[in-house]
Amino acid sequence: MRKQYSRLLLVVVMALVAAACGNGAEETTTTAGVVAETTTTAGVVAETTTTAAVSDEIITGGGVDAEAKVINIGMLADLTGLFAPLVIDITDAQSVYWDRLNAAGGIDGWTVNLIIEDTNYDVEQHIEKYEKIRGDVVAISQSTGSPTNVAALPLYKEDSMLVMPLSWYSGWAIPEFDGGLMLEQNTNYCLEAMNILDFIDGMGGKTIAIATFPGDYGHDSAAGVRIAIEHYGMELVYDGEAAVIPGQDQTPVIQGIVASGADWTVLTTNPSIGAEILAGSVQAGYQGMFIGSVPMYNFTLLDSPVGPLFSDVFYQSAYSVGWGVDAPGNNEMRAAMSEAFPDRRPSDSFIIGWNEAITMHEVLAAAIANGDLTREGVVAAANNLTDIDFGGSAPTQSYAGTPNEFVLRSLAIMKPDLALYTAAGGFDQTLSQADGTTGSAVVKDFFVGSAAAEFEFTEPCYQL
Amino acid sequence: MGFVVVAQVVTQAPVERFLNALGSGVALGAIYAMLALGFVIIFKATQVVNFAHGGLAALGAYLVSYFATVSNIPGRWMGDISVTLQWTLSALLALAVMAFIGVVIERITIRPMIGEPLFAVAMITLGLDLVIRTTTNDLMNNTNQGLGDPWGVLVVEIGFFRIAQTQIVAIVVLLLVGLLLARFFKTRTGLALRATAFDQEVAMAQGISVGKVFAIAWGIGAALAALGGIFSSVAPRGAGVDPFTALIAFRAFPAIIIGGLDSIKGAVVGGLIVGVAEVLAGTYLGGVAWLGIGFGGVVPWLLMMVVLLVRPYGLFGTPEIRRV
Repeated sequence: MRKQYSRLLLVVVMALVAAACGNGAEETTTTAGVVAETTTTAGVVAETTTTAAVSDEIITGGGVDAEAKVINIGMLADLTGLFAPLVIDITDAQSVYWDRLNAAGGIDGWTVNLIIEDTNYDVEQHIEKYEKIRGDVVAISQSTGSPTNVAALPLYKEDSMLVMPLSWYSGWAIPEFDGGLMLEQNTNYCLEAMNILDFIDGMGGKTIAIATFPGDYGHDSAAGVRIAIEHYGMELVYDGEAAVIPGQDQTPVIQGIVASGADWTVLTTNPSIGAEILAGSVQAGYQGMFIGSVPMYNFTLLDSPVGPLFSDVFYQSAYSVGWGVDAPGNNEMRAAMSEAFPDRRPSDSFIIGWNEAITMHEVLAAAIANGDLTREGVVAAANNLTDIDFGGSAPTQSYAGTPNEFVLRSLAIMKPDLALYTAAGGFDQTLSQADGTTGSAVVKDFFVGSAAAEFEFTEPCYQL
Repeated sequence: MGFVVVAQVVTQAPVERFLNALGSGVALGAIYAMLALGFVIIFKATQVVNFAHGGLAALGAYLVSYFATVSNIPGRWMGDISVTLQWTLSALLALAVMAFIGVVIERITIRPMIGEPLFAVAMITLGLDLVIRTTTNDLMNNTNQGLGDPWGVLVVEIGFFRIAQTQIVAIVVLLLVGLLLARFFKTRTGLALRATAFDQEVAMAQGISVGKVFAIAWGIGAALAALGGIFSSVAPRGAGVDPFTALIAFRAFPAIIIGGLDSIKGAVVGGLIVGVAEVLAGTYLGGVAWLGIGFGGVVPWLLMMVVLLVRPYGLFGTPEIRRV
């Protein structure tokens, strides 16, 4: 019997070892419609203005009900997988945005209907759910993950589907890679890393350690670090690119960081493993500072025993401001979310979903103005947008021109502050609380460092 | 684009590096040993390999988080007691609840399968793992939940040797568990468990309630899984219990095989071997490019395969004898 088990276990074990190493046709219709010129400011739904019609015909295709004037957009969201806490908040913020927009009359009389599918951050489920909705939507306003979107990219190309990825891989800004279909938000991992090093340079840091996941996230960020290290004349004293393997012991990475004695360590991991490395390094005697890429930090770490360490030795980069930060766009989002979910906890993720919705709103408004609500028309409208304004909650974003012209290079730096978080009520805060905060304060407002500004962005920093 | 040459500045002396890695390895091994003990006790009594061990580990850690940081049970009824005592009581309560859950699992899903192929029972535990992990992830909102342990990120420093207080606690707890189990197997119930492990039919003929023995084994096994989950969720191993916590049980598999599936002593020795091997391999082989990324994590499995080839029943396992 034990032999049987040994064999069974051996099969399971071999599988684990292997793991360790390593649209449907659509109709196009033409309908009479009011073509409008729409001006949207910082997502202020009520401020959408309509001017006289330029043309009285709008071409529509799959995903649009021209008679009912309904535009269907999809979300392929990880609502039950590893990124669920982040994505649930993002999804809810988008839902609130579209509900308010529709209640205010929609986009020139067009109602936007959101079709949400849970992908569980699983490639197969992602493709399955995309297959399910591909014929019903005109665009995807949020699609979680890099591996999932890379796997589904050929399908998007088949359908000419505009997709907003919840992923910051530098390749999403390169039309030769994504066919101009991926409407990336914010900056990317590579330029983010360059700006992080600009901040470190300003703080007097000269020696750098990096610890990253394998994959586009870690490699893209590491590429940015290397470019910036050369630019600022720094020294990479511990190279932990792709050394952080989820599910493995992190002692070697911790030892590498401690042994290097680096002034600063750049972490490109997830929050829990980043916390393990940070806490382990400090416990082992590391005296330097840490800074993390955006996906590395989650304010709920302040609730854990390592919270004081994050407050003492950690900075976070930020694509958009945190919940408690005073900015017109952020304030509007806070008011809307507090009204919709007064008893929920604050979250830095709401603003991501809110700003995604603002961008998609601009895209659809432009497509209507152009008289073309087909998928191709939506893609064309997206790729000609300039200066989308988020009311100070994130830098303005453009998509027109070459990647080197439109790629967003700005980043902010924030500092977790346990005292600030605790004073506001910590874990027990609710959205209805006026002084609610996720505990981070801006220490450097949106900026573009010299390395990022001078970088010729013509191809992905890391080739998938 | 040109890149700067990477300079690996190693300021630690070789002895310092080795000793710190060794300390970390022993502490990790202690966690593996706790998990392995739970596996072995269940297998020893019931011949079932419990693939739900990871789920039980995560659920146990979550319960500590809930009792210690959310509800303060039983501390809220204890008056003015120290934080350490308060947390320890919460942890003990969580272990007791996990033992009860283990008994319930055995009664509902395992006992009806007595006499059925063991492969089918193992598959049931795989399904259980999925159910427990999904439920636990939902309970903790798929994010990390701190356990509120009193040691936090404090360390003990002796010269250049540094070790986290939680790691010392883990090693001490393993020693205590080992001693308790050694005593337990000399008690009447422990003897019943050993007899059942030897031959169920003979044990029943001797008046031993095999069902009761199964329940006790699952209770102890689930509590030990929780213990492993707790120490893998505190610094420096983690910032709390999260969806990755359950994976620690799979990392303990080589420990069970190396030590021997039915050996208590083997579980402890195997756990320590695997912990030390993993950390030392990661420390010294992590920078060897041709070995690839993450080779340190593969070493315990390679070690296990070698042991299986040389000693199919592990270092301390009981060889199966068949009369033909």
